[in-house]
Amino acid sequence: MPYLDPELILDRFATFTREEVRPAVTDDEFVHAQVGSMASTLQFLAGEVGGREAAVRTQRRTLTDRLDELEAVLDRNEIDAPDVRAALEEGHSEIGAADGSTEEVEEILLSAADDVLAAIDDELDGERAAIVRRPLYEFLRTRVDQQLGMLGREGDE
Amino acid sequence: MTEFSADALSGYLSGTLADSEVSVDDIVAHTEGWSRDTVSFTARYREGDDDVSERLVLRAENELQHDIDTTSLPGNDIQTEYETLVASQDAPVPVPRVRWFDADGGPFERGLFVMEHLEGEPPITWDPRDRQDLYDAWDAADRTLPNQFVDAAAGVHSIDGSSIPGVEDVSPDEVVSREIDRWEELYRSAELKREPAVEEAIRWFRANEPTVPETTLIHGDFRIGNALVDDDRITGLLDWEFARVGDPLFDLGYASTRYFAGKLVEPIERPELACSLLEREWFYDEYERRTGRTVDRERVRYWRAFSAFVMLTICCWGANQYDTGASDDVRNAWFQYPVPGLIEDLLAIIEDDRL
Repeated sequence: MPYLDPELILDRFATFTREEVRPAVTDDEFVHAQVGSMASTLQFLAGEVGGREAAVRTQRRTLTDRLDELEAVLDRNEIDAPDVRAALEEGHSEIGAADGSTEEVEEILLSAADDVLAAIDDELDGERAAIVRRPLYEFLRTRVDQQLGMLGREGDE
Repeated sequence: MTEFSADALSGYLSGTLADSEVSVDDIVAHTEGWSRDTVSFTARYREGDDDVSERLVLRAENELQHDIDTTSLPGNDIQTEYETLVASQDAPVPVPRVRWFDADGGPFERGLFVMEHLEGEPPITWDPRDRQDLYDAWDAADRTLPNQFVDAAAGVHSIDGSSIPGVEDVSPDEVVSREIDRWEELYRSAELKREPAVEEAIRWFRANEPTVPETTLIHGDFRIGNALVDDDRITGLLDWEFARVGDPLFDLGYASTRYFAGKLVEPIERPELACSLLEREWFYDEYERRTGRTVDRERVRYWRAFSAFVMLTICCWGANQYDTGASDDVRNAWFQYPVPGLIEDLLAIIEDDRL
């Protein structure tokens, strides 16, 4: 998160720097050494990337809370939406059971959120759909804020 | 593939550009239109008793475009891009004069075309210095550059797209669903992760299809970054590979996205300016005045959201090419990074209707 495995990219950058860039630098010993150091540093970074674990933990907590809130919204407003409730239950169950890698957990979260949103779209209209969607949009915003934070955003939109 | 060296260009142009031997120097590789390989160079040759010197631009398929089925690419094939430029030669929009198209490309072994070089540089809205220049152009009393940008939009939409070889005519009543189908198919082919926000946007696009009264040629990648700017003049509109028949308001919405105003991760300083160059409402008002078309703000909003999806799809497509090993271009790996900002923009637009 975001998308391609950062480890994969860093690893490939490291290989390219070591195997292509470094041999091409033939007339400057200092730069040659610097590029060598850069290649090994990139390789280290490839193993160090772990920030997304914390981000996915936060997203998991947020989605779990928002699904609870959504259920409360359904109850409070006496909205009869069996498909939404089924997707909600399924989502809760899958998230509760998720114990794989960070990437696997992330995919379960995304899938669960989308299943519930799709069920809302299929089963509800107008204002009823809107009030039920709101908790899940908080999850969508949390996810995108975290992605942008990981990319270095400091300011507010 | 043969590189665009002076020797290779000289060999190709001798007998093509002129009957005599052509020498080539001052070769510049252009990274800005990087979806294709583009180089400019100076060609020198004898014509009768005269020494002739010309600055030319060669635009060619890149290796990936040459090797794969062109229907799976986000943009048009290179011949259609060339034909679109041919159709634009006498339209009220500045474009480079085209010279010839070569499907085989001689020693370069790929489709290419040659056109005349124009002065100017494309502003890079993601560069704060270029952005400041654009802000200054908007703040200037005469607003020459913003005015030329509006004229360029109007000029593109005056071209008869249906007569361009390779460009399919699409009727107004099917243009929106065709756009959604086309870009969703491409998105699915390159999807990096199942993003619920994007799925919501696609559902919103389908549920809120606007009524389009007419179709025209659209540029499809209409933004200041695809214009050559020399002082305060647009000398040429470039990169026509996404041109197609569509809703002319698509180009207005596309140019109005925050992404093309320079937003990647951090918010931009003046988000009210389309392309960091002109206030959106002024843009739409002036376009109405010059074309006689009504700019339905809701339809522009729709295309603005859709354009964020289009750009997001192109980003995913590039990143997917890197992920699968089809491309080793580092810029394709980088293409994943604008996606969260584009999703943020999509959400900001659709939330008004969904919540």
